Amino acid sequence: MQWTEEQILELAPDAASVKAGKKQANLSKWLRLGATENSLWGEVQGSGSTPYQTRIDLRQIGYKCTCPSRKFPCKHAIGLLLLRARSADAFTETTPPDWVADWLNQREKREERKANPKPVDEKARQKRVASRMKKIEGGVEELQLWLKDLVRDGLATLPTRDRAFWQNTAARMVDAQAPGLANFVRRMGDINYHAAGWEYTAWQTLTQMYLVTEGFKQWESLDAGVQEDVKTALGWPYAKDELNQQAGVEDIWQILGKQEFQDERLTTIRYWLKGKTSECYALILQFIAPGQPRDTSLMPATQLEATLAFYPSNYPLRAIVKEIRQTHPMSQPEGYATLSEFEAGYAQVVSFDFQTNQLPVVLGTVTPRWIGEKLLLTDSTGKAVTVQVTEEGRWKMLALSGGQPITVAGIIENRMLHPLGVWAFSEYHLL
Amino acid sequence: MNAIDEILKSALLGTDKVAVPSVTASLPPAVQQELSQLPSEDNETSFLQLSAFMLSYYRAGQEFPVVDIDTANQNNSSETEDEKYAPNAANRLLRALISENRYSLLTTWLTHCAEKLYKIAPQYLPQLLKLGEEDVALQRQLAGVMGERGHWLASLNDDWQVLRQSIQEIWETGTSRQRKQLLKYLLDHDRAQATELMQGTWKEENATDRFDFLSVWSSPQSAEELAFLETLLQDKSKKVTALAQQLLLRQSESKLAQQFHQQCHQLLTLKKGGMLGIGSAKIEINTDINLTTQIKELGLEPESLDKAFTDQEYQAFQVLSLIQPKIWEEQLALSPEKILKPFITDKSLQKYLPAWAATVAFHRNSNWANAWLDFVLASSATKVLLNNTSSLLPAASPEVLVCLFSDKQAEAILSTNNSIQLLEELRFPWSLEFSKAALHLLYRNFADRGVYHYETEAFMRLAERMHIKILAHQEEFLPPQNEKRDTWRTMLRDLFRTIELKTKIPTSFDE
Repeated sequence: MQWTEEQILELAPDAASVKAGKKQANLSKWLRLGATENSLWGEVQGSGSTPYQTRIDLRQIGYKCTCPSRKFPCKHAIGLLLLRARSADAFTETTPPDWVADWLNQREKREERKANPKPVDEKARQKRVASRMKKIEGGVEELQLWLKDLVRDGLATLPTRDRAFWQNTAARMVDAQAPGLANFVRRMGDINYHAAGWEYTAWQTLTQMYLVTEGFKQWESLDAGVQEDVKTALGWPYAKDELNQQAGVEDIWQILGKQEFQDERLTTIRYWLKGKTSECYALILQFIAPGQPRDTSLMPATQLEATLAFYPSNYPLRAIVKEIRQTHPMSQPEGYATLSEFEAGYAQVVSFDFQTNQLPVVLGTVTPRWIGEKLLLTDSTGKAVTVQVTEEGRWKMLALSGGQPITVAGIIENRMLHPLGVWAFSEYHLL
Repeated sequence: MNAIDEILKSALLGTDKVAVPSVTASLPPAVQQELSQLPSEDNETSFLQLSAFMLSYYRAGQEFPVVDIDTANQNNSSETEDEKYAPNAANRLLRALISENRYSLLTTWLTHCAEKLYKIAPQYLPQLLKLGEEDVALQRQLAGVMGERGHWLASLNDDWQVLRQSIQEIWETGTSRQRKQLLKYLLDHDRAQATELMQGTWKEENATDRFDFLSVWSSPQSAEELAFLETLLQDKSKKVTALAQQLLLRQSESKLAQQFHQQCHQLLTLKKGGMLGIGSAKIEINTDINLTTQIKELGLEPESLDKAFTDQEYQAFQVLSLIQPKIWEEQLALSPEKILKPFITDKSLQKYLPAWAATVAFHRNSNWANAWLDFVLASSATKVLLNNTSSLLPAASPEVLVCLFSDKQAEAILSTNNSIQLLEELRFPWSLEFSKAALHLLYRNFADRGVYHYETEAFMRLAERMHIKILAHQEEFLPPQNEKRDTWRTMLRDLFRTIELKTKIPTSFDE
């Protein structure tokens, strides 16, 4: 499939790699270049005596290069992809040499192994669960007392609380092996207490925290799906192997977009997907520590023929990629015809899942309108949702629509839409 | 006050101060029933239970507002486009130009887009309109190819309104900067309209604008334009009058230039040498003639500002730097080489060399510039000669410049400080030979030290001038393998990438 330069540069691990990759996209540097429908390869003269061998698997995006770089993908892989986008004719070889064919075979076998993981030791797992539950019980009791104190004193006192107030409680929840509860506490500490509407956000977070603790206390009476949601909210870890034991959901997964968040410790990337047949949405999270390579197999504005394994939940959303078979160009995502239709779906999700604040959505026919310095998406009935987007994204969305209905994918949070992409002129445009 | 507001109010104050609110009255009976069944241990637990219940109830029932679109937004949608959007290959190229900041090629891309009657694909409009905010020339180009979609988009953004205005409207309502840019653009594309606009509002303009417009308009190209320029000698602003005088002096057919030459033609004389006047003739500067009137009229300095000159000599120096050099060819019946030679070799005349350089540059006289460079290329070139050469390079012919660029004297004239800027001023079409000579010169100047950040934009603009066949000669300008010179390598690659993209622009629209 044909990738755009923007998509390729998205793969670079940092700005320096973007620059270095562009430099490598120079035909004079490459001694040989070849391509099949599913792979690219080339030999590039580096600083060593022998040329570096760079190969790329296009089916399930993967790279390998003999250069010593620790960056992933390296500048040669980025350069090779850019060259393909700019000068496809220069890729004259059509039969992969051994060093490409062997590598592709190995990758295929690895994928097969991944799809059939080893069975889990059930006894050991039960023991771990029991021990953890005991610790969490103590944490939950403590947090409920803390919540009651907040309610007694009133939320008006929150803006005056210092950092230590939140940090100490969060640390105790981490000790109680409930990192999810620690995150709730940190989120309360991170609220902008100078912004209008903080009261609602604080109350909502506090209430959700209470629901998690109460859910844990009434564990036995909960449905299996709700139990899983409580576990997730507590920060219960799921081993990848456990998830991989599921059959998974096989589909053509459209990668609607990604959101990237950076804090002092790590980068979090949220990939939002939608299944073409299943019509399920999926959220795939990547956590990247400083210096750690990125998994670049998910490229926004493409679609994957893949199987996803979902974290157990009453409303399964978070998932991992179990197996990728092929990457394809994006096709038009289908979605709700009106905002009223979405409201009905949203109400159902909220009734399933008490803690979800962000919901992915594809709105099939909405019209962007710039009214009173606000960007709105209106449906055919006149209902409107406010769009929160960068200035560049706003004008791009308006330009693509021309004031006519278009398909928009995004995230709904606090009744606002954070757009991810737009389908217009037979193409998916990331925002 | 609705139920959630009640709960928030209690949440803010705390259960120590206020009771848990009773919100049941505002809720449907079924919900009231559910709420009444909640157990309660203490006030805090009751409040938390009520909150937990109401949060899900409230979130599930949220609806988006309905807006009255027709009254809120008159300018709802774009008109339908009649013409096609640029083809995919051209779009890919445009995306590369924007993402790689190769803005100097946008003009070429837009020109081809207009010639092939295509419109800009909508997704690129915002970035291009943004780039055009401060650039009237780009705005004019965009206005022609942005289509109905672009016009509609521009109507939504105050910063882009200018794209929807006609040339007349911009001239009448634009800022001084916009009007100056517009005049410059029109002089390249529609000189008659530029002159008409400028003359039409001339009397209403303030002195600063009149001076700025005249600086841009600069050289008259018809008898009518010359007549207009001559009227400006009576302008109220001294700055404008002085500029008009300067511009008229460049025009040999202007009354001022003819009068000036008439008054000053005795400045240079040819004195027969030797016994009975049969030896070689010698050029002399006649400082005895009275130039006071001309000095006063042209606003020149009556007194010397340089210790090397007397007041009379300094007046002669200034007048010499304004008179068209070709006039001396006719009057003295000598070639430029013969006239220049004594000023290079005779120490008493050398101090007048800068005046010759100034007049050759001022009148852009190619024969004189070439003759000057011939002296530079001769091994005996003096420091004074070299120091005054750079200003007249734009007047020289490409062939002579090629010789200069490969000569050792080039380093003394074209340094790292001025070579990029001087090359930019060479506006004739660059041949392959000239492009190679220019790039070799840059290699000698920049391969060691690299191109500094502030110079890169101008360096990249040279790609516009380079002959496209230079792409086959990239290796010639790369340092040997054992020399790193990374900055130069990067800049060179970047320059060649720009040239490569430039070559692809015309064919990208053929899809």
